[in-house]
Amino acid sequence: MKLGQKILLNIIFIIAMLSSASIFAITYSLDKLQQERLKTSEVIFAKSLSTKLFRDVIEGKVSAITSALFEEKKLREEKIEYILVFNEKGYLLSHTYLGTMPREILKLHSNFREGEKYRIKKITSKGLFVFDIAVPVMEGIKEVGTLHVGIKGSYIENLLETAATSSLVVISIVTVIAVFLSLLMSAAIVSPVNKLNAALIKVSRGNLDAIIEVESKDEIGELGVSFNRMTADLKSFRDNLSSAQKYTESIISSMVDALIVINPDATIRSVNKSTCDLLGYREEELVGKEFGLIFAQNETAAEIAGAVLDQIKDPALLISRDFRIARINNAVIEMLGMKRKDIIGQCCYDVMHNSKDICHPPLDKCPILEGVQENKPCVETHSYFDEEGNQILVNVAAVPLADRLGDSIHYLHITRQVNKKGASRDGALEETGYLAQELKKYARQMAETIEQKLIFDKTGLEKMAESGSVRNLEVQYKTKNGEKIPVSFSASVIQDRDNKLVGIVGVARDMRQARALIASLEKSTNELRDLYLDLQNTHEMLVQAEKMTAVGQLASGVAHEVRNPLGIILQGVNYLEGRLSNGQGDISEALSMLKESVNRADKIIDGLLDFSKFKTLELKPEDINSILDNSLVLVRSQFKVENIEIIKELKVGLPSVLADKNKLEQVFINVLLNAIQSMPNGGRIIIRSHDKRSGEEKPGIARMIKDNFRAGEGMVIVEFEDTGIGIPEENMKKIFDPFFTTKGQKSGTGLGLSVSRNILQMHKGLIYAESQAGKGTKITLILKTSGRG
Amino acid sequence: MAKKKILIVDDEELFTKLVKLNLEKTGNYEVRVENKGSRGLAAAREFDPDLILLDILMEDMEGSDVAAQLKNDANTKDIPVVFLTAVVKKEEVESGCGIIGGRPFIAKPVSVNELIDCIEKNMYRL
Repeated sequence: MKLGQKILLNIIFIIAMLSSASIFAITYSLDKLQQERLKTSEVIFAKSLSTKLFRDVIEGKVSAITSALFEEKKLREEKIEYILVFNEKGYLLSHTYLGTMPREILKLHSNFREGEKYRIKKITSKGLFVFDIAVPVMEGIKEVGTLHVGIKGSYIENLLETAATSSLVVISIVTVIAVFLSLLMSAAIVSPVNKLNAALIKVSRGNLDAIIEVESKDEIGELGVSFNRMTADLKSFRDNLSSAQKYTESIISSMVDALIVINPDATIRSVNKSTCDLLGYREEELVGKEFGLIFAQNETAAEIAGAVLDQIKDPALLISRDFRIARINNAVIEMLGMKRKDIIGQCCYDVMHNSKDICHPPLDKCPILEGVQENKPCVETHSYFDEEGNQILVNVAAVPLADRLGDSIHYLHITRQVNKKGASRDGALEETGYLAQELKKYARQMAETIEQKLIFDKTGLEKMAESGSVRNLEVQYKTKNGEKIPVSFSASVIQDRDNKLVGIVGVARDMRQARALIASLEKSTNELRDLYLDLQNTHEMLVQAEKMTAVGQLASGVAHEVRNPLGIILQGVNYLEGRLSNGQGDISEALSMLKESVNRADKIIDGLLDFSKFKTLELKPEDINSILDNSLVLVRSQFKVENIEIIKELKVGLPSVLADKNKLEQVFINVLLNAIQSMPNGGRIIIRSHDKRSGEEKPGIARMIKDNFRAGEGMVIVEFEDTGIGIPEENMKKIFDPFFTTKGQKSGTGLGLSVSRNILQMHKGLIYAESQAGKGTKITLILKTSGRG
Repeated sequence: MAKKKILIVDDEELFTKLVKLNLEKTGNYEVRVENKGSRGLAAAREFDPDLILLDILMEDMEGSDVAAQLKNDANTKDIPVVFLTAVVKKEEVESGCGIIGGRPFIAKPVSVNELIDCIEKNMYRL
């Protein structure tokens, strides 16, 4: 029922109540009115009549009474129904009834109480409706009878009717007016409510501009005001929200990084423009699809594990179940001095120990076997001897890896040299604890990285949901036409209020530029480093030269001081010679010996100057082959070489070497002279130049080379191989010592090779000798390339 | 034949004494000795030699400075000068007598014959 109707009904009800109340009131008052009316006029009439008739009543003159009654009745025919008179005994004396008297009338008589002046009784029975007015007939104060006058009800009623009608009419009119007014009022009340309602409906439909015109100051008016305020607030809130939403949307759509939202069932929920552009899909081609669609999953578990391997500094291997090497890091290549392709696929015991069988006790126990049994990292200490006879201890450790890696990768194996000199096996074991820890760490890292990178299926998503987020994972997106793009992927979970997974939002950053940048940066850094090292080398060479000039000054001082007396001696000997006469051959001989001694001393001084005096070291990029040729020419011009076959095997197009030409010539000449002098009866010298190591050097030499030259550093190698008498074993260590000579006092000062080695050292190069007594000698020189081709 | 006049400027007394002895013994030379480098110029002007043997490393003055002085003096600038030096590596030179940097020199210790050889070679350098 509508409010208006309710109000109306309420008002009508009230009016009805009021009306009923009024009617009752009116009826009551009308009743009262009746009584008054009767009291006033009819009672008075009855009284007067009773007074008139009392004598008759006392004398019992019935006929007189009766005629009086009839007379009175006739006079007031319209209002009197009957008149009765009773004597004091209650006996009806007279009445006006012509016919039968109703029974009720007979019963009317009753005595008056003292003081009661009259009695009015209303009688309604079958067909009789009267008001009976009874008055006592008095003689003085004595009651002698009663007089009843029956006033016709209809007479009173007529009176009443008129009054009632008028009041009803009044009431009706008032009611109608009241209803009309209440209609107006209810409308007045309802209308603002309706307005409010209409406005609310508008608001509920989304139109927040609806405003209520508030006229009244009552509660409804206040409601209107509040409503207006509320809609205004709502409107500004909504406007803020929509602009915030627009703001967020424009951020997302303008983001350079590719955004993606993923449902818990691993389908794509939404993507931003950058994702579409990056991958070459339209938005509708991606939404709803499995998000594995856009990830390139070709990194096998093995490759992922391999990436971790590269981070390990010690030589580390991934070995399969049948002991074959599956992956290695660069440190392994350096340690073994072998090419990668010669290592992968071989058995680990073959490559590492040159053995046909797995390492076994009593000496070297295989840590892999033990690891298999114990299923945890195991460390063993192995030993081997280097070419100088020193014992080298290494800790080797192995740990089995997670099954998810498959059969091809089963063990992680690390070698680390024990760093204490003269360490014992027990000392080595101390370090094993650390090694085992590290191994566990690496194994765990591998497992975790694999877990992370293989997340992109539903189980992976759930795992990520547990951890809450993923940061900067390097994975590959796959474009529509199959191209793979490296990206850095970060994601967070979206949860509802009950912490249930609602979705995952991820951002992928295109790494290609960054990687290119890093690559070129690395290249620049490497170049810079090479440059720096070159610079360092040159600097060191110059410092050496500086030192040499200081020593050289000393040497020149010594030379001067010694040669002057030598000069005097020689001149003196010459003079004595001049004074000899024939036949003094013995004196002549003695003088000859003196001259020889002077000569020898002179040569030593020469050698000393040689050894220590350097003018400025002139380093220039030089071609080794031309220096060799030059040296040969010089040698040939000075010494007898007719019975020596000289074979040249010089490689064409060798890289240039930063060197002092004169000094190198000196070295070559020196070596050639030694060779020539070792073959007094003729022989052969082979001179070779090339730029590749044979890889077959003895361990001591190999180590020397490794210490001197960085991996991959360019080198030029010169070899002088002769078929001379060779160098006996016991002398091999001494040949580079200063003043060591086997040539006897005549021809050797013993400074040649030591000076040569000095020169090579100043060039940051190497010189070494290999020889077999009776067979021949090979001198090898190694020089660094100048790096500029 | 007239004797050639040789001036030797060297602070090693014994050496110069013996050289004078040996050279004059041949009968071909007249030798004047000067042991002080600073007096070399004066000696040359006085003696007017045909050739000067000049030691490089002397205590009071370097030979090259003396040579410069000689060059600057009109009277002496045309006299051939041969340097005496102890600090040269024999391996670098063919013999005790040679030329370094355009200047003739003799490497000590030197025998008399080599000395005479060198003197004769450079005497007519003019």
